[in-house]
Amino acid sequence: MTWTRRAFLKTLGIGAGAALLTPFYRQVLATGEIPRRFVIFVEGNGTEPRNLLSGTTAEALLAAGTDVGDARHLYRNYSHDTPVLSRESNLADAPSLASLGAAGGPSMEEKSAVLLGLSSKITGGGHSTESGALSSSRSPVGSPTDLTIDHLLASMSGVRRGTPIQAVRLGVVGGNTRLNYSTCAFGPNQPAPITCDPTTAFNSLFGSVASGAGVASFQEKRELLDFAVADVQRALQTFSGNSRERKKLERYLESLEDMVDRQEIIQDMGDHLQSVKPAEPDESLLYTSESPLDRLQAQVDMATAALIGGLTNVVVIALGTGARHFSLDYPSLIDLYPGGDMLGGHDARHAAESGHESFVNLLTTITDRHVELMASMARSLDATPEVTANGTMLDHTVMLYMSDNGEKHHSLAEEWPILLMGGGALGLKTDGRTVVFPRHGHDNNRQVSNLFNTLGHAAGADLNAFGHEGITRIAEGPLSEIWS
Amino acid sequence: MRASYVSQAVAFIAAWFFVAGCTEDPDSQWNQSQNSATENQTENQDPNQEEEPATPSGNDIDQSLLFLCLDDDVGYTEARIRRIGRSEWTRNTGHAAGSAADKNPFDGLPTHPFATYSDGETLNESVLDIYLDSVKSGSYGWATRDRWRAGALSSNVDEDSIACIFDDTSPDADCIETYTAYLLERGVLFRPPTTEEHQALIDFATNVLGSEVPDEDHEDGQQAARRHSLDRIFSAAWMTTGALFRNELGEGPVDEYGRSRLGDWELANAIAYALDGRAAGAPGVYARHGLAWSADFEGHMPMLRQAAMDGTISDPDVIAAAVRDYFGGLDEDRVDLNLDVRDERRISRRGEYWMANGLREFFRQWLGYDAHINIFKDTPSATSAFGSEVHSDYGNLISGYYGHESRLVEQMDDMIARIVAEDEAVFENLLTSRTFYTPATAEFEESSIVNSTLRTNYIYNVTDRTEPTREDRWQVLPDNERAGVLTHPAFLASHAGAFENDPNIVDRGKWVRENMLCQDVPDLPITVEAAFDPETRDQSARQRMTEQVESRTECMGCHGLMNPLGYPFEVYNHAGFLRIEDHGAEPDGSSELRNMPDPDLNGPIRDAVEMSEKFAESPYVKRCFIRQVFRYFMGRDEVLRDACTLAQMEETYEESGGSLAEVLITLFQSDSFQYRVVSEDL
Repeated sequence: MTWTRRAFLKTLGIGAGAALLTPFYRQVLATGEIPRRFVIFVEGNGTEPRNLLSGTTAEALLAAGTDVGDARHLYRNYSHDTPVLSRESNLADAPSLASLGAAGGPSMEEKSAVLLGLSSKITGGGHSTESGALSSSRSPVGSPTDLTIDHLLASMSGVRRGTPIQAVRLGVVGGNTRLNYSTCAFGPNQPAPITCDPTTAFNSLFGSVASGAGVASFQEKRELLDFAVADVQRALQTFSGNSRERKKLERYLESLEDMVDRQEIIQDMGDHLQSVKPAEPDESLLYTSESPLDRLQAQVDMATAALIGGLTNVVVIALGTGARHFSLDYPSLIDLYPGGDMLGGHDARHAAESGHESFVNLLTTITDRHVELMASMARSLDATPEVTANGTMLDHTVMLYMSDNGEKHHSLAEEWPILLMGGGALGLKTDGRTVVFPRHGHDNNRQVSNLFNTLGHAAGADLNAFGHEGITRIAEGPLSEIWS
Repeated sequence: MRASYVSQAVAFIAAWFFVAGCTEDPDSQWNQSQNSATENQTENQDPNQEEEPATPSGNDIDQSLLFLCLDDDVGYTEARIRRIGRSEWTRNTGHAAGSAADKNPFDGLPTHPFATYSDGETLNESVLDIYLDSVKSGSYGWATRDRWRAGALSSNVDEDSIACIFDDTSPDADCIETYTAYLLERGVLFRPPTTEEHQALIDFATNVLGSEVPDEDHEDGQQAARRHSLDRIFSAAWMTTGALFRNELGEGPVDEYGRSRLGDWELANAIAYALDGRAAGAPGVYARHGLAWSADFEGHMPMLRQAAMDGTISDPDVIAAAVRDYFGGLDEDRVDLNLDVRDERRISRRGEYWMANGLREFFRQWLGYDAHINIFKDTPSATSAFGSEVHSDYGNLISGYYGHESRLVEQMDDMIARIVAEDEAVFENLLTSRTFYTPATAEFEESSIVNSTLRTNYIYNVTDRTEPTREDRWQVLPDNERAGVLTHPAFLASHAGAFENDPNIVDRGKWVRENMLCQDVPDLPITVEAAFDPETRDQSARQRMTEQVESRTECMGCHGLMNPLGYPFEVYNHAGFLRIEDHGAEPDGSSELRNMPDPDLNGPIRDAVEMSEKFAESPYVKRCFIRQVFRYFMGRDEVLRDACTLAQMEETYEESGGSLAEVLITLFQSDSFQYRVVSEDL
């Protein structure tokens, strides 16, 4: 059964009037502005431009003077001087975009767009640019230079619109790391965690309506908060410092109480969340699968449910991001490894960069599977009508696919291939087009920060100053080629 | 200054230059900048926080007044509570820098010059959100007790009284009481808990353990359930105000000046945190599969813990003994790195001198020499004797990715540690030492990572092979090339932009004015719009500055404070390499210092080497150094009532032959450090 938001409301018996809505929904429906959501998929250690290049775009490039030939890292061949716009680009025939086509469900080609040629040299390239990718800055391991675009968007009231969770950040990594701090940041030196254990994520998002361990985890968090609230209240009763110092404790208490309120809002959404929650950890093998692609599917399913369920309006899905986390093994793709012998994630990517065909194909397939998951989320959102606006949730959701270092394993950060989906109602020209910008170094080259500026406009704000390309910045503002 | 602070400063400098129009009158700018600062503060301030008092402090005060100890000067600090800092939390829970636990959200406010400042530091919703996700990451040593596992706590594995909590299927009330008391005192509060604190945790733990449900389908179901329970108990303990906020409220009787002395535990921990960035008795940690540890059963700085327990912390000799012991020294094994550096190969490649964490953090934050890791460097070799062949090596100096040699920032740590550990004429040696710790290269000659390792010493202009011995890594550089910390590549790269002809003159000059001379430069006027003409990219920074800025008198109100102090560094490029040419001309670091706060500093100088040597001889600059020491270790700006403390610190420095340890002892024994006043009219 396909659940739609309207169906949820109907199930709740609240379709007839807002008076019956939970406080959360009353708040949302009272908001006059249109919904604006953002989903960012970040692939670790490079997305090869060739994998997003359709045949018709290659022809358009040729007509503009650029022959990409068999190149995988296309920027080296770019010789055009103005952006090449390919409107009839048949996106699904690109090596990693087949899932956009009708074979995977309703075609998503006409709700997608591809950008090639964007650069972000400031990030430094290499195995990973860490949070530099989402902040257009130089941000080494553990030291974000500034906040990332996801946090900026999530902080905007017009985006959050009363949802209880500012942003949901989920992902997969190599190894057993539960939290990945590589990719997102709340601010300078404030890395934002990405939850890499699907079970932990489930307990956090849907624990209130889960059975077994999930609900226990949710309850434990509540008990922890209650314990802390009691402690601060006790401390305040005997506090002997002056009012300025006292305010430090009072501020902590307010924060705790705010968190308790959030827990209660989620609890209030119980029936609603019950309807959207994905399979529970003990009901699905995806949660603990050895295959990162399986775990990723669990995470994407959860994020989709969080969006449809109204838990959040900003999602980050991190696919092995960060210099310490990109080395993933793919047992479910073992047939693609030469001789069926698994090679470590780093070595496989290294081999691909060296041109080893089997590993080139492996990378193409990995990106393809990632895009397949993104497309499945897009289809779910597209199948869900908005309650407070015309169109579908996808129309009000900008979905972005990018890498965390640019174009390849040892990236020079000279080209950042981008796939966009949805967001049509927010002004994005995701109509099947591909835009290829002139190469890095050309005056008409544009940068990843310009894409983030575009997202700002989709969020209803001028974020043109965002993106610390520093003196390497070419021009600020949105990309007119995909923004109306 | 801390990295974030320096990053802000770099951004500020960049902004300064990309806006034109200046003003001639520094005073009018001063007023404007103060208004602007107030507006910014209001915008960023917690709405519940009251306006800051207007007591002059820090660089606002005439330095000569700050060292004038008058009879009626009574030193004290406002009673305060201090939220735990990021690295403090990491160390107190027994975890390494860079670990998951180290991702806790307790970074200081970026507006603070030092991470030790506590005003306005609390937990808001964002901080709490992250903390709730990360608090459990610190629990490892308190939820397991296996001595052969890295990360086990030395204070726990040999403590028999708490074994029951790990071993008993159903721990009884005595066991829970003992474990929670031990956890609170040795792992969370670092002082005996109050009855209320202890009882609350007993109740919580009893409830948690009572509801524990082992997974009977798994062999280690009981063990896993217990670990989970102990995680929860640890998390609860670390959510308490006592864990997150350290009291410095004063506990003794109120004296005639309205002051009360810090309690024994307050004082012991105040010294411990200042000196080593962790609590007195913070747990020692097993490393390398139990084959090494950071401290034994008694934990870190046990002397201070013991002195708090037996009340001898009030004895000045006890404080002095503790500081001398925990301050720094020579240690071939570098035990101080055991917690943070798990790979023995990296430890053996570091210098043999160590300094306490507080000392290292002070120098890093004051000099800001770790900021370069966040600053993009285009063509690091530009204008140096080298070409693109050193770019990978330079990148590796920053990241340390290839091989096991130290990074640039660690090389500067080690250089300073040697000066600190020798503890003679510290200030002078900081500014004049030619002994630099450099990376070894010889062992990489046949290596597959040769492109990133063989030329890492070129940054110091050392092009001979450097053998992988400590003796060979210590290099005495030519007198005319570098002198002390202001000429270290890590410092130079941290106070410069992306290009060699960026306005690094301003960045470095402003830093010197504010941090070596303790004088402020007015903030950038909001009406100013200035920029180096982008068409002059092929010119030297000096030419761009003189032609585009110094030709305009209205700019010199502020630039006159900065540029003369920035030009001397133009003999180095933006990455810290020594220049051999500068856009077709000889490198030129000459400058004319005028109207300096110490008249002896006035006059022409050749370059940053000569400027450093002049600074080293200046009593005025030395006083500024003492002020910086005061700020970091006191955790606040100095004010006039600290004059006697500052004067005593200066006197101690002179009498001890320039011992920083003795200066700290004087500070820790001072009224400013030990007395508190609770006042509402601040």
